[in-house]
Amino acid sequence: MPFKIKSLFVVTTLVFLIIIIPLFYLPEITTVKGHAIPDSYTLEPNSLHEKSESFPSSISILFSERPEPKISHIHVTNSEGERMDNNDFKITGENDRRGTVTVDKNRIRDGIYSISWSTLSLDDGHVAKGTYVVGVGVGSSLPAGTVPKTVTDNNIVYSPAMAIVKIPIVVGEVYVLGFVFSQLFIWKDIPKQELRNIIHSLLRRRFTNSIIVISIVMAIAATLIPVFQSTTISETQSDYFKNLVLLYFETTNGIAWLIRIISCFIIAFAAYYYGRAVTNESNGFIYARSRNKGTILLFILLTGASIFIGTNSFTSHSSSIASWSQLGNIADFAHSIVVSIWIGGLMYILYVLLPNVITISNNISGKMQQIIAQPKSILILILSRFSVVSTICVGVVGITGLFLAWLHIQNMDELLLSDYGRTLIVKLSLILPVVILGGYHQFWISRKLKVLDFERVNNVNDSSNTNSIQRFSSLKTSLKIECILALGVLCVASFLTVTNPPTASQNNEIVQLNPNDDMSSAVQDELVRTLETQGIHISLVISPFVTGFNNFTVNILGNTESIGQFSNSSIEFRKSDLSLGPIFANLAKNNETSYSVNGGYLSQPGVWDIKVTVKRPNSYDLNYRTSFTVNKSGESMHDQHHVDSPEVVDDDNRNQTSSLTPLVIGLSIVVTILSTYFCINALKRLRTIQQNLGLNSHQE
Amino acid sequence: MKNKFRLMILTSLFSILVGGFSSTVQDTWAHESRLYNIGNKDYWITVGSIGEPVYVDDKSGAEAFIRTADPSNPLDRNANGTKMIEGLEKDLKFEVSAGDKKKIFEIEPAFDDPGHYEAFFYPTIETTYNYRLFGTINNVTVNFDFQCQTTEGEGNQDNSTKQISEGVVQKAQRGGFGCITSRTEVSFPEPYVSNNELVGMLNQTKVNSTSN
Repeated sequence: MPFKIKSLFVVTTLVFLIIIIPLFYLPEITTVKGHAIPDSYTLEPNSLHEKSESFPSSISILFSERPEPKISHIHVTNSEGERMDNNDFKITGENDRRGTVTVDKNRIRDGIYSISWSTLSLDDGHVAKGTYVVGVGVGSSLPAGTVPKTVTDNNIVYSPAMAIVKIPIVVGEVYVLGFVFSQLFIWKDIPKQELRNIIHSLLRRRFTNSIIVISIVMAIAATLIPVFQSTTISETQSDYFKNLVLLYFETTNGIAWLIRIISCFIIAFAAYYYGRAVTNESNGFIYARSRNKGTILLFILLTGASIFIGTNSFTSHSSSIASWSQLGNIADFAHSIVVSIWIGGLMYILYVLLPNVITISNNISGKMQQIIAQPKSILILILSRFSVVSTICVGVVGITGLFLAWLHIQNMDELLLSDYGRTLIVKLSLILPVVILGGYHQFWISRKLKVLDFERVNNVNDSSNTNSIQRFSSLKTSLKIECILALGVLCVASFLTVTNPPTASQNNEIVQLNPNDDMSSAVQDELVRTLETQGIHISLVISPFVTGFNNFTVNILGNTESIGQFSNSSIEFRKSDLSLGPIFANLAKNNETSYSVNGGYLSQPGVWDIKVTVKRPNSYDLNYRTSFTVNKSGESMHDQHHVDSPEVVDDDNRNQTSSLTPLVIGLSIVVTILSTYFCINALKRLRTIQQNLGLNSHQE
Repeated sequence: MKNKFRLMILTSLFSILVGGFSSTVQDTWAHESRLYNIGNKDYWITVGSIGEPVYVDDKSGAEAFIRTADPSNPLDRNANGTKMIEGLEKDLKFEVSAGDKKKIFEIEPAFDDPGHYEAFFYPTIETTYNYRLFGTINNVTVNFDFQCQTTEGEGNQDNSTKQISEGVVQKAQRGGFGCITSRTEVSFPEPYVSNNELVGMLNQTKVNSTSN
């Protein structure tokens, strides 16, 4: 009996202890950082210098992650686009997070200067870039017409093309690992090594050919990633090739690419030699020497696929988390491995097993008991084994997935409003039918088992293989649907890998919140607040959330068909101490449900009262009010010195984090219980099947 | 010492100028005025809410000031040659609309204020109000739409000419009037709850008690 209930309990308990229990003891996450984006500047955005002499001789930016010095840069250009820096960007300390460039002060004259930065993170390999503006000798305000509409622009580079390139990588690694795992373990304990060899030989063609093709596709996709990254970070064609060479050969990204390519080669060659090792050499049987070689090659394939997955997991979003980064990476790795076993195994059954089940049956008839030599018996046996594996996988995937979501998303606002959260919702929406179909297959196996049991007891011999297989057409269809949905999940997962988690785009400085707001979150470089009136929710986003020029965006949430049309939107600003305001801003329409404006309305630090008005034709206006405290940019720089210090946890942050922790723990416990319950049932069913088919591990 | 004296004079002058300008802006702000040529005669029609600034549940309404323009200086609605027009209460009405609701109000001449007409109502919700003044002036059918502004500013400053309807040409436009706002920001010591909000709360309580 390969699966013991007692062992299962031990494994489940261990998984629970490793993944869930640490949550109880985790200190609250204080700082979560993402792509290498600026935490603070020595020369503040929008700052004005009366004389060129006061312009600093060097400009440095403290980034949230370690920028790759060979690729990253800070450029200072005047209004004519001429470079004012000495092109000597270097890392100058603060855990290798501070980048500095010196300026040719002799060339600084009165005018507007743009400081653009671009980074490739050493921590997670992601690219980010942005620009801000400073003025020299222009009095108290920048000259009219010279200030760009968007003065500060911190853009995490989100590339759908990159996500598309990653799809073959994500799907490929799942495919390879799942296939190899299934080939290695799912036929285990079929009586007689000779029969197993026949089965492996019959499955060889589809197994090896598909793995070789997939590994080549994976290598091509992995090679294309730096090509796209270089396009993003390069300004000129000569820069492009220079950066491309750097990306391939002199950066950590290059190391990851090299490991991936080597892994792909190992996978392709091991699959090729495995194919040769299990080829029928005489009358459908293989030699014992080749058999051992085949098993070794399968383990090499398994190792290669795991290393490939490791390169993804250890450069994932979890890498950019200041606290618990390693635990996040391990959870990500475990998540990817188990998903591969589950979904890859499903693909194996559909693509490798089902098309060959009659051939296998024909080849082993006469060599086994009659009942096991029938296609339906083989299918039920393998499906029963796979259902045990898949129930464990679903449990582990659920727990690790919840943990990763908890790491990256700290409150419901982030789940509902951020791109990352919304993509995650799409992923979960696709996973749900996959799990439901999995449950349906469990019941299908139970039903077929009863039929098989009846035939065995009554000695009914359905020798027609064709008729037997026809009975499984519905199973084939539902398995296909499950596989397609699972592929959809993997595609969405690819997009998730290039989408910035909400925690990564924030600098963790929680500002004073209005306790009357139902849902609100505020961070130092962006404020996101959900407001409600007349049953209609909007999100107000202020970015960056410091004094100066800001982008104000109003998004109307919900179904526009039920809410109705909107004609325009405006914001009224007023300092709470009435020292400033009201200041009015009309927002420009981005689309039917989004309005925005850029401007220096929050000109002073302190508490601001804001009224957002959204007008609707033929309906009452929607008036939303809220208050918040805005800090100066300089204060944010001061605060950032405490970013890595766990002692300066903000109370609001703690409350928000802790509000999701019990939910995650609760859901994890539910997933564990359900997974264990279904796994025990699957094990009992497997035991019954093996007894009915007269199989035991000692027959050989 | 001399510099300080100069600075003091400059500051005073600046304050006077800014103060004067501010009062002008305030004056322009409260209502919206338009110069119309109606049946070959120029009229200044000024419309706004009674008793601005108006808060929800205040006694307010729509009001109109109607006068003939000064032929020598038609673009100045306060020129000496303007003349307030009386007796239009029988010929004009206000239709007030907010959201998808509309209601027609009779207008009444204001006491001891010729050319000033009022239509009282109690605004019950914070939203954009439209005042449609319609009827006949100088035996010409008129239909003028005025909308309150949720955002302040310098208001309208438009001298362009446009045909509104047969016999009616708009020749200029000045200022604007503010919308009815919530009492939230000015209530003290307890937050004010409008009658409409109270009705909503009562309905919610009724729904909750029914469902329980």
